[in-house]
Amino acid sequence: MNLRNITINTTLAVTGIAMWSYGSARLASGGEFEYRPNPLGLKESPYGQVIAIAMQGGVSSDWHGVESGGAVACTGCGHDHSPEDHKKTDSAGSSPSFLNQLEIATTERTNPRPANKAHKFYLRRQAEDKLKVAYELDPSNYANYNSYHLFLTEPQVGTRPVMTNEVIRLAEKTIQYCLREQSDPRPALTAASACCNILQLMFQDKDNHRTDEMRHVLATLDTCLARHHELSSKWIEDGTYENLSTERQQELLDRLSFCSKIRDTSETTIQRRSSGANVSMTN
Amino acid sequence: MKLYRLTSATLLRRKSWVICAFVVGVLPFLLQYISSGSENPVLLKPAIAQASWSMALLSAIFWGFFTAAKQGESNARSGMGEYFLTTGLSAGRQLFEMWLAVFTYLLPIPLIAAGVCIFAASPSLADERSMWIATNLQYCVLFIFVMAPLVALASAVASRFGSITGFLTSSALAIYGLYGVGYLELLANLEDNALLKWLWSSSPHYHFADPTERLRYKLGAIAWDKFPLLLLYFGGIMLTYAVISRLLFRVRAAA
Repeated sequence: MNLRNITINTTLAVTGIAMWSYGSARLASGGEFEYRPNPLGLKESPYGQVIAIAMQGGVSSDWHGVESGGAVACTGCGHDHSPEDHKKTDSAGSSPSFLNQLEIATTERTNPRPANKAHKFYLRRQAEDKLKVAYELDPSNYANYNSYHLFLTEPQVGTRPVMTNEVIRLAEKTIQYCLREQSDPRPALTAASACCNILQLMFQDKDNHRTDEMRHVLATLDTCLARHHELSSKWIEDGTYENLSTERQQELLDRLSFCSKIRDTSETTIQRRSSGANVSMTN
Repeated sequence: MKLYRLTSATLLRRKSWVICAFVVGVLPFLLQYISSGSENPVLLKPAIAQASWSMALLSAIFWGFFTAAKQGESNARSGMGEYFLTTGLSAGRQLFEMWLAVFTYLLPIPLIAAGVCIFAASPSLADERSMWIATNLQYCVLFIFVMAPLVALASAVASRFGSITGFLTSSALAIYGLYGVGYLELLANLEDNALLKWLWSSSPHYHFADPTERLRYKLGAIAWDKFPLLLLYFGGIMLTYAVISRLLFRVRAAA
């Protein structure tokens, strides 16, 4: 290597490393290095929302694997469901297509032995991990949030039970995220459902939660439902609601009805608790 | 600039740049239909913006680095590099001309992505729109600062170790800098391990050049007083990689 090359390389290296180090130090001191990795920006994005829904299929397969292990599979398709279900499809359409037959061949369970405890645990953990990813992709997805909540709170279902405070923090984070939505009415329902979950946890551990705390969550639940109604009306007015399939619309109505019922029940419970506290104070 | 002209003409005739142009310029408009924007039209513009920059990153990583690596390898193995050396074109000059040729095709990628974002996904409010334009232009510059030295590195590594190694080196560095450093921080207990902490802080933090989140949340342009610091940071990485590339590059394959 000649002197010219050595000089050029040395100059470039010294300057480059000095600039890199100085830039690093300045950026690190400003806290700029802290960030949440988000490949291709998928988390909480319009594409993330679709992938989060698609992941429900994988979660369902894992769950199906836990629940159906060892059960007698349907002779028609190899899946674990009642023959009645088949009659419905058979009467509705013609014989299964070639692709369906291939799917049956590759997905039917031929192992007569049920999944053992360790295998079931593994499958439950797979489902839990997928739910966590699905939740991160779209925290406003009603089904994914609630399923993940179930895994975190039910030791028989989840594999990594967490403290109640952590579950409440997840619900609060979900509420905060969902209430930022200014167009779609569905996230407000997820937020309402998160409020219902917090209330349920508070009722289970009522000695450690005051009535005014519960009333505060109930008020947030009312805000979420009001936001849902407001955004739904806008969607119905501008015709966006029609973009949803009838199944999705029905799903929305069912979830609204469920949250409303929980809301009313919670209010009654809080009133009863509040009046009980008043009676004990008078006595 | 004979090698530049030769490499540019080769890339033009190979026509694989058409795929890139399609992926960055057209695909974002098609991908929006599989986003949740099909149910909620408010999300269509964010979906276009996200897809255009994501496609730009993917095109640079997969097409740009692969092309650079292939050119680097063929220059050394075909005898072309040795021929140009006899005509007086030094190894450093050959690397520069080859880099410039690949870079000529890579440069339109961020420009198209920014153009798609500005013309098809701008916010409707005037003040937000001007910030949107500034953000896109800033990320165009950052994209170039990040990808340019990695193109040279891909060619240099490929000339010595083959095109697959060249491509994988630059791609792995880019992916590690974009996402890996974040996961390293999440997975490793940095505070308790001085080595890991040093590795993390001295890694190339390319995520500063990924605009997808900034655009989606409409965070506005990077503050202009902080922008030169980012240029300085990436400029330092660029010079360091330039030296590594110059040292690794060879004009003839090992005997």
